Amino acid sequence: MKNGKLFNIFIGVVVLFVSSACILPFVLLFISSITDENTIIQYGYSFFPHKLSLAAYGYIMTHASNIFRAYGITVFITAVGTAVSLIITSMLAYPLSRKDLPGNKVFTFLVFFTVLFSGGLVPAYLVYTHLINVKNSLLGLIVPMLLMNGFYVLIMRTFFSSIPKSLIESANLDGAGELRIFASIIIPLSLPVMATVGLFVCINYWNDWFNGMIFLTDSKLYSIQNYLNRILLDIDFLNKNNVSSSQAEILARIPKETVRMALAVIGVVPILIAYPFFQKYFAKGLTVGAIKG
Amino acid sequence: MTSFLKKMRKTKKYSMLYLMMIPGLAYLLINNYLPMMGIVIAFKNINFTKGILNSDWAGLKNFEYLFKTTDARDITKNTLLYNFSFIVINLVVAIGLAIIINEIRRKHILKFFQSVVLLPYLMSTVIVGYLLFSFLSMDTGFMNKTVLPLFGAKEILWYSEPKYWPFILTLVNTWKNAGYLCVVYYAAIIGIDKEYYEAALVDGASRWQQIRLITLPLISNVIIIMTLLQIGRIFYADFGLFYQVPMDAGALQSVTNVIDTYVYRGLMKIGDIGMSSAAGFYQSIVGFLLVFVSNMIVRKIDNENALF
Amino acid sequence: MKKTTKKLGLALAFLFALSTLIVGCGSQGSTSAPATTQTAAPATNASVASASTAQTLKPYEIIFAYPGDETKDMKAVQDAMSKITQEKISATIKLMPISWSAWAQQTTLMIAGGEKIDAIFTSNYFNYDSVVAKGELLPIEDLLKKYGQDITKTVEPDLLNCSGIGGHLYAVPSMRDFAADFGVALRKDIVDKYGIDTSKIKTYADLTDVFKLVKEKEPGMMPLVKGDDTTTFVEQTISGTFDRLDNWFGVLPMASGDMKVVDMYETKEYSDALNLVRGWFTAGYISKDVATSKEQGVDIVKSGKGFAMLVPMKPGAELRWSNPCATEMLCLRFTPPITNTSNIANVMTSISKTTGDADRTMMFLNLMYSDKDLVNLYDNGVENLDYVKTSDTAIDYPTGLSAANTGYPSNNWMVGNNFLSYIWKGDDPNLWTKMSDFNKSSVRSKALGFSFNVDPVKTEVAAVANVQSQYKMGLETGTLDPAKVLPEFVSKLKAAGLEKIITEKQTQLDAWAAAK
Repeated sequence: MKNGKLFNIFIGVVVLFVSSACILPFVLLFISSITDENTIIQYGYSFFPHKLSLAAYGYIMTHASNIFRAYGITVFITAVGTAVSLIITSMLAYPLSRKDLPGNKVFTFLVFFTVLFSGGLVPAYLVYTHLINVKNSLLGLIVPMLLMNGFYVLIMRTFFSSIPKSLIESANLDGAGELRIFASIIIPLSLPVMATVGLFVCINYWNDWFNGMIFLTDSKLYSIQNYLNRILLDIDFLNKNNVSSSQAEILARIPKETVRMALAVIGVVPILIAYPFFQKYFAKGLTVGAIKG
Repeated sequence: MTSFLKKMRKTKKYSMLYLMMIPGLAYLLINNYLPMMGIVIAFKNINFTKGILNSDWAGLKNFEYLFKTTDARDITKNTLLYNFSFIVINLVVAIGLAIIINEIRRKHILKFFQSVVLLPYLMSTVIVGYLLFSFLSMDTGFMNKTVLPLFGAKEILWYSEPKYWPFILTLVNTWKNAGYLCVVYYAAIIGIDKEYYEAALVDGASRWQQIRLITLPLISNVIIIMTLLQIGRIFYADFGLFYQVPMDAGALQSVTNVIDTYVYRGLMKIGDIGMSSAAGFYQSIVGFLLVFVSNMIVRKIDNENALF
Repeated sequence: MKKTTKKLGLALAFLFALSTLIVGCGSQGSTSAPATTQTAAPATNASVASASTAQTLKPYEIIFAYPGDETKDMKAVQDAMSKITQEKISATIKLMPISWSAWAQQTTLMIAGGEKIDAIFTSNYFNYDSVVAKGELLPIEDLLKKYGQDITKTVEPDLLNCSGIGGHLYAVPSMRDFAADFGVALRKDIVDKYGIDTSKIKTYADLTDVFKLVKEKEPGMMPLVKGDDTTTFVEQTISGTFDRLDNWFGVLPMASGDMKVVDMYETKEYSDALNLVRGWFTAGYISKDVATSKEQGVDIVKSGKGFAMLVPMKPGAELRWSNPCATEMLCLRFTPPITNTSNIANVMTSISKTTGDADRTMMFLNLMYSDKDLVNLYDNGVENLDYVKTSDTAIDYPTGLSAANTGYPSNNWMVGNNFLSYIWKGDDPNLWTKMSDFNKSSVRSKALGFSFNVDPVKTEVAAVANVQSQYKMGLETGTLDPAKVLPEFVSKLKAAGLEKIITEKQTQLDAWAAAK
């Protein structure tokens, strides 16, 4: 029992250490975002800044109406994208997990091959603008690159294949079709991996700005990251390239350092709010035994 | 006749499984296989007026800059060594975290901890670079102004001293990714049937022994697949980590230049898509070879868990 | 296993065949869309087309892509511009701003995908030469002759030729400050406070004593901060000495009489400049973080932590630097204004190969060099909406508006003959005259009009660029000791192939000079 106590203390220490390593930088980020711009330039970032200021958020609020629309678009594409992604990923992963399926290895290899090789941006763009026209549409934010990924298919396949075959066989004997087995046995037993992949896909959608950058010219369709990134990269760009005096004048009014931090805060907070939704599927007890009983 | 019937039955039995695969395979066809055509770009002098397929062939000229230069050895070495250590270290830390999360008994601490380990992954690399700079800056940095004087040490010119950066980069990488990767292992651990642990308790196994003898073996399939997948990407470096986190400091380049940063710096002013495509192709080939070899080894040891 | 591989091979072969089919069609479709670009010699094609279209111009929509953001009044500006162009060339205008950060990627993809763009912004900052090499633009010399008379009248041939690559012109430069002079911007209040005699500061070396004084008297202030992110101190101090010939890899000394390309990194001027800046660094006049910090010089001055910046000048530079620093800056110029190809090719307009009507696009560009109303609409917006006239040549914001909340931020440098546009209140009332004189009075590089074609030495340039990025920032900000590091830098550049680039550049320059 002494051993167990030591173990608990060890865990407590690790939890404390890891938590602070993860949280403190974030706290610093937040405090920097509400620090006065000149204070940052003079003294650097600090947990206890000399002077606070909400100027960064003030500047961002001048874009408020666009930002709220962009949030809406992000929530929509994230929800739709994650749902569709989970459906087609699991439907591909399950047959691949069935070692008895003829051609299993070929298909697995075909999936794996996509993890290694990519044709590059230009051909992908051509396919998506000529074959399916996703330019300037929400499809452009949902379909390309993000909807499914061989990496997640293979992870799911591994989890599915650790489900005992006897379960599937006995259901087969009971006359259940493959689709039924998949929906009523495999999925309920695989909620943790579904939640894992769902979380990953969700984060990918939430953080994506690249698709928007190449498939959208209409800024009304911008997702939140597109919008935040555009503010950020445009400031950066104009900073680096002193293009005209009137632009310089506009730039002078933007609290650049703190805006960067504030944008990062605005981008991350909602996904933290969404996290508990996935968390509940990480509950324990969803074991084979539970289903049997 | 019976064998034919059997075959028919078998096909019918599997037809639903094949049908289920169609949407996913169709997506891979459109999203991955069709654009893979673009690999020809690596061998072309692209001219859009002529079109991609009709552009002039360039032979292997687009690849030359990856091999012929004085830096070629450095960038190859850096890319492979860093990624190799990242794979190993992240694996150990992520599994460790997953086991610890699994051992937390208090529900609210569990939920809290699960969320916070994901935080670093959500922070963009650019921001990480800025925050790190606030620690290491010479004028205002926390390390030079507060920590080092505390120990009576002299201030260090962090951004001009390559020797510290392999550690810093590895630390940042682990800090950023371990929490994310641990979600997969945690999902695997909670899928383990509780009966195993109950039986072990009856036998009087300690918690260390339970981890070593039950948890790890039972998630080995997940460990193997995750590792194989990462080996496939071993020749791709995390651009943000090697470019933005060291603030593009020239003095650090001997330890921060990897293929992706080399290509970026080299092509910034040329903008040649043939050459960037060549780099991608080269990276894929190396990853492919390595993963092929690893898979062969896995198959020798444990055929069940081999990828293909 | 064998069976598996065979099946796999079959499957891959099938996929490859399928994809060839589809993508093949795709890219073919993209090239066939714009009719004028199909033939190998688009110029002759265009001339055939123009004969018939000149009399009966069909309605056409000209899409004009430029870097920038969509603004509130953009539609109003577009409508007003269309009204003019409708009347004159029977075309309407569609403005297509693409955000600065997405510009390079998105325009390349759009043109690769055959999406229609007519007029398009180009710049050597966005790798103009490789844009041409990728076949994204149409050669325009014949179109210029036919429909661009006002352009050729406004832009003198030497400047127009700066867009020449491989014997063709692909762009026209906008009328703005073509020359650049270099110097230092100092905080006027500090200069006054210590009675610094600026008339005695004639060279960069003269600044040392000033920095010394500031360092002693103002402990919280850095005497010298960087001008912008990318241009180093040394680069500022030598920009008047060399024509960089596109990329600094092989330069032409402004003072030399011949056309000999030299390795700048081995010149005495370069090492002198390094030593000067290194001296400033070791004396503590420059922040130790300068090579890595991403803070902008103007922001540091604004925060009160900086005194001087080395920056490029032009007429109106005082305002250009005082505005963002939020304090009055004195500008001292150390070099005469200099014009080289890089300055001209910085801001140009081209015709995309995906245009549907090259003739009409050229007519539109021609109007941008001659039609005062059209230029003013694009540059400054709609009268009484975005600006009000205060005199025949001067304008101001309408009441309630300012640079911060205007619906159309002024754009008076990007396209066409900006000298036709009104001058904003606060700027010098004679800004355009002064700028024109400035351009005329500038010293011209002997290589003005020469552009380097990087293609034959791409491999070397990629390698040399990497070596450069390793040393440049450190050396040219004074962070690294030139006595130790410069020889290493020079020899690594050589190992990476700098000499081959210089030889190639020399060959191209000689050929260009001979043809001239």
